[in-house]
Amino acid sequence: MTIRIALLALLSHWRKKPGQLLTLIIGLSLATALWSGVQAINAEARASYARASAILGENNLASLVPVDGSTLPLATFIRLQKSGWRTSPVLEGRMRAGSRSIRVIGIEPLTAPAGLAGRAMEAGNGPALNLSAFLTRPGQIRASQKTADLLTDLPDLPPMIVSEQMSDGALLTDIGVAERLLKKSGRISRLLVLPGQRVDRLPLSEAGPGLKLVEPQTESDVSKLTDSFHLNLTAFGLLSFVVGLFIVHGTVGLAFEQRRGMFRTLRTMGLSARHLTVAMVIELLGFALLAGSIGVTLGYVIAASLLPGVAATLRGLYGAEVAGALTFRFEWWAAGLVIALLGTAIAAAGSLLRLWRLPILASAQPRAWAMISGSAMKLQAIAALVLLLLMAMLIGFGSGLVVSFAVLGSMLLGASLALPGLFSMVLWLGQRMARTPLAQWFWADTRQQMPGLSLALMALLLALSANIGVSTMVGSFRTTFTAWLDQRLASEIYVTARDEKQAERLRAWLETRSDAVLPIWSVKLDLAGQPGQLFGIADHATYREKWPLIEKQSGVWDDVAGGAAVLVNEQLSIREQVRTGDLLTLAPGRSLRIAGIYSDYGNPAPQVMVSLALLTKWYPEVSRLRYGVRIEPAKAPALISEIREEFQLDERSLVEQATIKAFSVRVFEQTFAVTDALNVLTLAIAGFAIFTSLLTLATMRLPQLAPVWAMGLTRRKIAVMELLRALLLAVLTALVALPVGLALAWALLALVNVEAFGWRLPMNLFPADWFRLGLFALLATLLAAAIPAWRLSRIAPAELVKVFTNER
Amino acid sequence: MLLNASNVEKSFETQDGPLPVLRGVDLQLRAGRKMALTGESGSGKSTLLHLIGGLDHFDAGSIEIDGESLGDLSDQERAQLRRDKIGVVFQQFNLIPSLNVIDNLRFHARLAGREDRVWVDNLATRLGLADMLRRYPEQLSGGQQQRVAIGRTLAARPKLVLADEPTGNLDEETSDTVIDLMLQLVEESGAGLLLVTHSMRLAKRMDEHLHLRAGRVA
Ligand SMILES: Nc1ncnc2c1ncn2[C@@H]1O[C@H](COP(=O)(O)OP(=O)(O)OP(=O)(O)O)[C@@H](O)[C@H]1O
Ligand SMILES: [Mg+2]
Repeated sequence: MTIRIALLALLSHWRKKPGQLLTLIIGLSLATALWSGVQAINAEARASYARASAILGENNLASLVPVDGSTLPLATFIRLQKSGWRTSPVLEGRMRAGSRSIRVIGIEPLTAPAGLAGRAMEAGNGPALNLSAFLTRPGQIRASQKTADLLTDLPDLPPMIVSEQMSDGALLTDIGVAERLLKKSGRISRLLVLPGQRVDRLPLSEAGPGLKLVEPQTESDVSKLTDSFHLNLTAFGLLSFVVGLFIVHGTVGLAFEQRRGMFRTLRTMGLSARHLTVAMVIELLGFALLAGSIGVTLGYVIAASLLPGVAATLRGLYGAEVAGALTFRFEWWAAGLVIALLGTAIAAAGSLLRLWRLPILASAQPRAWAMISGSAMKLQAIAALVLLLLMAMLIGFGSGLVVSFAVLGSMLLGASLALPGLFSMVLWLGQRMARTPLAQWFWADTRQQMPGLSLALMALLLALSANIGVSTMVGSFRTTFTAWLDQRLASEIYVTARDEKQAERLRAWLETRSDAVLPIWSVKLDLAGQPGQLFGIADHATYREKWPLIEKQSGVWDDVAGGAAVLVNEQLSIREQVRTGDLLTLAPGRSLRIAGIYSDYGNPAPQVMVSLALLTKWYPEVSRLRYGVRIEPAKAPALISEIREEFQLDERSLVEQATIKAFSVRVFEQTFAVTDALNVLTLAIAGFAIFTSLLTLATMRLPQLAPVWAMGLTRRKIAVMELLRALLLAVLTALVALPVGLALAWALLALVNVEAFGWRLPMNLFPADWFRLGLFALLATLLAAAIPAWRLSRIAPAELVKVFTNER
Repeated sequence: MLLNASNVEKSFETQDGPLPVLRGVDLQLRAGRKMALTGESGSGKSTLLHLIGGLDHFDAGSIEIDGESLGDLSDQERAQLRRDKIGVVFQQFNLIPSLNVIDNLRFHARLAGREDRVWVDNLATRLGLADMLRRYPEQLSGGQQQRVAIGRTLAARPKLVLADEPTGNLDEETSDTVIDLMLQLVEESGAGLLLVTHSMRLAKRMDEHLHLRAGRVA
């Protein structure tokens, strides 16, 4: 009862100040929205990866694969069976369906592990899979609705069962159907090693020479690859959340100060501190739930509109399939509300504590809420210094992805905490140098306002530096990547033959019709304990002129061609900490000197290159299907159609370099669109923070402005000076944001990227972008300052006079 | 005895060491009696009033209100005591700015759990507030605001009314009408009144008069 009355009194404040309430709700909703939007995208992507890898239970079964990366004959399976190995064959491959490529997974239902067969049998969203139907011809195909839609045009497919358990772009069927679809009769990609093996089985070297055991992966490759992308998104979401919390913190603090009189009155009338605090907690709880719900809904909308772009990025960059549509997840909704509550708790903790401790007789008049004491400013400056020092130490002595993100965190936090002190100094200098009394007042008054605005300015700083940092990173990535594509995709046409016989014919056919045919042959093998690739390269001018070497010894190409040296990619050199001149051991007795290191973006795995002769000597069985064809670029399209006609190759097996490049550029545009959207949203929140701070300061500043007005300054003039002040602060913030943003970009490129991907990107600068961003920030500030200034210019003189009479 | 304070001491911590404000004050007030508290500025009148109202802690001595010893009460119990038995009117800022006049008037009574609509209406009419019940404090003059504050205090029917220069901000004429109303209403309600004032004229109208000098009753 008592609490109910107290609550009603507390709530009455907001009825009188609906704008403040709106600010609080909007701030909290936006913070929650961006955070949960990003979480939704991440959750959707992760669920897609999990679906993709769970299809084959890859997470928990070891498998046997051929050492040379080719396929196995059925006979191997039978021989292993006889030697006591319990395995189940899987045939995997890709087939075309229209313009898309679909992953085909064929299993053998009788021997497939229970979990897998179980998954295949699960009802899902479609009718249950009928085991006998699955076993008898013509078999069945399971696929998601989207995949099924792609398949409808293909002739003579077995009956289709739609199951949302399947990830998009993959289908599950029995091995017989898979053989037909993939045109790989009698072949097996790998053998799943079933649980419960017999102890007396023959060792692998006898039962299956040429096979190797691949341990189960705890994490699918795809999720490892994309982790960094998601980490960046999460960092962005967190940042926006923090910026939003600034708003909440400001509003709650302001409401606290404005209700001081009410608190004293309530306490005098017999409400205990506990009652009052409980009432305020309930009040905040209500707001958090309301704003949280709005935020989560908004986040859903944001995620739904960004997801197609993210999905395109992930597919293009990493080949990861992510559904383009968002499914509603209860956990995510709950998590959004929890984060809203948590954020409110953090933002309001100070006010609640003060309320709890507030002496009854504390002044009833709203104290200049904005005026934090000089000692608090000093404390902030010290904290900033400590954080920046910590950052320097982490850069100097730390390593690892977590440390890299700690560097980012301490950098941003340290810079924002340092901001008020820095500004205070600049403004003090301005005041010292001011000549006219009006200018002096301008500087002094700006300085006095600093504490009240500092939170909003910190928010702006965070938003601007994140903006500069992220777009510098993405921009550098794009510039470097496209330049690298030019070097790396040196051939005009890339062609993959269907089989060895066709490959031979193709080589002969192209001999007379092109400038050069460069084999691209490789085998999969373990490099430094990780799955990697060994390539053979021809000794050709193309490589000598264009290959993107970032470190090399003299005579590198002669040495590689002569079989005396190898090239390694940057990932391998960073991971193994090897440089040119070091010896690399590929296998016992196969140690070669590293003569060069090349950049290899878009690929997380280690790679080594040797001469073609060495590759074919070591791996005579290597598949010789892929070739790069050099020709005058203008003639490439004509040659492509000729090849297609002659050899009946589809688009996947026959690509023009220009197409790949165009595709890559498109992918980057998508990435840009996503980061741009997040950038704009974060900046908008910061602009809103400034707006609300100015609006609140405006009402509290009347006592400061009234004397100036009384002394003969027009309201218009005062309003214009208010606008100028806001612009000055925005410009100063932008100036600080530039170095902070560049430092952020450096940390992303030189620390986070190296840890996450294994390569370091050179940093490019985009001054035109900064200029654009600066203008944007000024515009946002101008908009934010316009309404308070306009109101001031039209304020009734009576309001100003009131300041002098002791009335409320 | 409604109010019994004996040997109350209070000092404040300041930069120059402790500042003794009350050095042993004795004070008794029976129900239905009105007492004026005077003394020059800084003599400790407000401080004493705050201590009696349980708004601050004293260093030594004892204060009993309606048989309850303030020194023995927890914060929670003091709050309960204020809610049930005491009404305080300050010089200004008494009202809840976000509530209109009628809600302010009813507030303390509702909190104490004894709202009496007839009594509130009566008070509103007597205090001349009847046609401004929907207005907010900021739309009232200083005298009107203080009348609302007095009405709010009396609406809860407290046993003890504490008033600290309730008309200190008002002109003499307004002050007189407000004080007249207050004394009349307090008399009717049978509450005890302790009124801090600078006006000797006003002090003379009370039943008792206490003058503070240098932290003691003079
Ligand atoms: N919180 C405090 N901290 C330190 N000193 C205080 C505090 N409150 C009051 N004082 C001091 O105690 C003394 C008594 O103050 P008090 O407000 O009780 O005076 P008063 O008699 O009400 O004066 P006035 O007539 O001006 O209202 C003054 O010297 C004042 O400076
Ligand atoms: Mg006083």
